Amino acid sequence: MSAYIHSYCTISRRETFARGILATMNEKRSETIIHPDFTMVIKPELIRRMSPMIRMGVGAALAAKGERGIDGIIVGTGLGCMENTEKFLDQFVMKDEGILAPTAFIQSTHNTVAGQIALTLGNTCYNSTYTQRGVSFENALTDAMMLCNEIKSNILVGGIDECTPLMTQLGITAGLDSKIYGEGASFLVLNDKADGALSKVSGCFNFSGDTSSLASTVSKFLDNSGLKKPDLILFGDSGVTTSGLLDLLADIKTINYSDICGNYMSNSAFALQMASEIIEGKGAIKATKVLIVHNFSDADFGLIYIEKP
Amino acid sequence: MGVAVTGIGIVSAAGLTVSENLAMLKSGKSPIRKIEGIQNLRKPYIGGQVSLSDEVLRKELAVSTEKIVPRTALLAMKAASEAWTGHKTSDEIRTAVISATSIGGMELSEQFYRQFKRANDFAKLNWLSVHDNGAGTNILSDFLGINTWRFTVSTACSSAANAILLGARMIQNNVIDRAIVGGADALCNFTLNGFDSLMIYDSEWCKPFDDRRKGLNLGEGAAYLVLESEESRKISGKNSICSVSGWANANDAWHQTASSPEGRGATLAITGALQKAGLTSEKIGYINAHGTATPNNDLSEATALNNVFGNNLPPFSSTKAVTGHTLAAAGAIEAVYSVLAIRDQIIFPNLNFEVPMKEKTCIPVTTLTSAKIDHVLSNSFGFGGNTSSLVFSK
Repeated sequence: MSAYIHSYCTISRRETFARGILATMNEKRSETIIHPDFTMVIKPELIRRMSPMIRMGVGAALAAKGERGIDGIIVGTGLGCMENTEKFLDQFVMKDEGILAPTAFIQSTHNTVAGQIALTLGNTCYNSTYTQRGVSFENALTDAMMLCNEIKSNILVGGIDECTPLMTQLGITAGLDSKIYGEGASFLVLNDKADGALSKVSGCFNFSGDTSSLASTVSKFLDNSGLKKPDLILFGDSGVTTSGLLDLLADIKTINYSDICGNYMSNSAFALQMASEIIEGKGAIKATKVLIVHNFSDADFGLIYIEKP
Repeated sequence: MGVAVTGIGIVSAAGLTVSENLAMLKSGKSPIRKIEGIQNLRKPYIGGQVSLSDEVLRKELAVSTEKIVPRTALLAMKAASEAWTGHKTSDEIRTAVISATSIGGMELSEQFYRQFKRANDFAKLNWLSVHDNGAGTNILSDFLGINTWRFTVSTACSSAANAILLGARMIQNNVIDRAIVGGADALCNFTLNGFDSLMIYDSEWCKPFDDRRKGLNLGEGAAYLVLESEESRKISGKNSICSVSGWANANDAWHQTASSPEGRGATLAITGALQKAGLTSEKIGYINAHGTATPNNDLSEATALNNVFGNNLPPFSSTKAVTGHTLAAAGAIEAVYSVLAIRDQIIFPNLNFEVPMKEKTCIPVTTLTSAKIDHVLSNSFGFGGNTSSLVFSK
């Protein structure tokens, strides 16, 4: 199964909204999300009601969509709307009696971003949300690739996660390095047509196991999908030790995209836009066939294969 | 051509197995009562609780007491092991686990959070390691021994219906041969307080489609179905109970939580599912409605049913007055009930209904009824405008 990438947009801690990923990847990363000015595309009163995560999700989705009509909205998010989840928890753990305000609860569900995109666009098409830890985006992409082949139309697919101050605090308490944390929203428009495409997604797979099975599973994935050996691997290692993981493909150039966007569960969506930019020849890195190997905690793995359309 | 259902399993307030659920549905009784055993409840909520404690579930499932496992995952394992009975992992059958949840490990996270916020106590910090939805799916998949194609769907109250239709689509697209699909959610303060804050939590038994309805009662549970391709069945040797023949997912695009008065998304979902199944509306022998008993849902759903079926509504009922609204598990629990309706040619009663809605001629079936049922429609709608419908066929 394959699908073609026709457009994309990432909102992150870099100026990716305006300038893309390759143009900004060597600059210093901001401590917070760089939100673009959305007032041209979303009514200011709507923006005010959106949490930062919803704002970056809807913003990236609308920018990726552009003027295209879309017939599917599919989102992958590892943790969903954490800020609103914390806000609603705050209310009831501190207040044993009295009335609770429902707003944070309403906007805490994992499907809030996909729902808000549909609502903002008035779009009644297929709409789904996946939350499978480090392979949430791979879940969403698998669905999107099937859907655009089923209905021969444009599908908007994205990966999004936010990082709240509390998550950073708890991470540090648990002994994690706060510098590795990241957040962002990357949305792409896929369809079944090669005409005018920027790049082609030729395979997507997810599996769980340990690092010892990675090389053989990658090899099996390439064989089963009839894919040639990639000339670049984008590796997201979530800050864990991954030495010797890619013995099989050891002679292939590897870039760790988690170093560029920071760690968050759905950051393989960021890697997919990055891979497309590389294949389009937007930067100095040259490659025509890119394999994204997303490693979450040395336990869950996502594979995405991208090549020239 | 649909996709074969070759295994079903369920755990809910109505019972710990498929046969216990069936007996409760036939009895016309409701197990919904005062919720007990959840710490720090703000109110005396009533709801549908699974009668087994975590300790008993752990023992039965041979889950170590050392391991951090949220109740959602324990319920998932309990129901999935019933559905998976007689199935085996096989290199020849590409198999996916597609599980739905809306709360994941929240039932543990909220306990940590309370101690952390009130007393700066970090003792339960490691409980957050299973906070995310995917943690439970991994625990379930490890339990079943399935390492590839793990999916978690989270589209609020329509989650499990979307898990089922993803499985059917992956099989039809020849991505996989077999999937165990369904959903699980445990009761917790987060959702009880959440629906209460929306003023749609009935302090008495919920009354789906009744004019006096005030809101829902939550429930907990899990249900799973095994879906297989023809090729997979040749290897597994399993018989088909019925098939998933139609499905559709749409969005209401009206409000983050409320359903549109014209039932826009629901109408699209029902119409799309019938179309996918290649059925005209009069072929549907029973509708298991979403029927949460909130004033908004039931009126909007009734409008959607009228949009599709006109005044010739097939027999329909909501089983939420038996199970409570089990959120991300609801679509799977009701899918199993739909399978049972076809298998046993019966329609389950909609409890607590007395007074028809003023706005609509919409009378559910209120007693256990035998009927010729070739096709069942099951509706699942949720926050975020998510609306999905499934058709099961003999």
